[in-house]
Amino acid sequence: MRPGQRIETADDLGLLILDIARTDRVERTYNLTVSGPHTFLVGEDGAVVHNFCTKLGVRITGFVRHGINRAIGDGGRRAGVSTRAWRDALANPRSVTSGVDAAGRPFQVYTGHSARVVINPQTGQIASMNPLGRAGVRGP
Amino acid sequence: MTRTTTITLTEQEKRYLMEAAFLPTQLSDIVIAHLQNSRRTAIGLTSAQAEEFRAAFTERLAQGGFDGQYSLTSEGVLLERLIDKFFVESIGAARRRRGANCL
Repeated sequence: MRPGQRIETADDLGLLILDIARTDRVERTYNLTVSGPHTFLVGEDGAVVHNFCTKLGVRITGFVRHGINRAIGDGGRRAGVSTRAWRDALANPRSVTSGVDAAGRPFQVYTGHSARVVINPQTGQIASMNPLGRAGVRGP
Repeated sequence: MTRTTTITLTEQEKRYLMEAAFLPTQLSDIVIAHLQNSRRTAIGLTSAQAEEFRAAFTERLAQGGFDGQYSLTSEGVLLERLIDKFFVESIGAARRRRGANCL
């Protein structure tokens, strides 16, 4: 995590990391594993936390900048993609295609019920995504 | 009767589609049928056809739409514009919203 990064939330509005501070406070911590989509919500804002893998076992590590922009949308003509839709596409795809891009990197395209997502399976980063139908469109 | 939506293309988008060798035959046939006439820049599609185009555009985007830093190449910019333009559901929703505002 670093300042400027965005955290998905249950209401799709998201949280922005403004600053990270070190502390000497001692707290008990847990390593949680949740069955199914490996996702749970934390805190009053419902921040989405995950140890998330795709149906093909790729661990998702984050987004490239373009992937974030596609997820959020531009608030106008271009629709963003709901968190539920892109996560479902990765976890329960109807189809997956794969290949190598022009720069020699592997890619996978996951087509779900409400979203289509492009990832680099080597880095686990999401490169792009699009909604499929209104069900996949990010809320206001 | 199957409902179709008319999508208006720019000259650049039309040229790109006419030369897009990556499109499967059933989609390039649609392109030729609608756009072969040099003056036409509109294509009428069902939502299922539009979604087939978007799938092909996304596959091509994954193959050649990103540079070394995962920024869009010029082809990537064009492909994403087409992916958004062929999003028939959003076109319908926007029209409905505009209609609602007029009431």
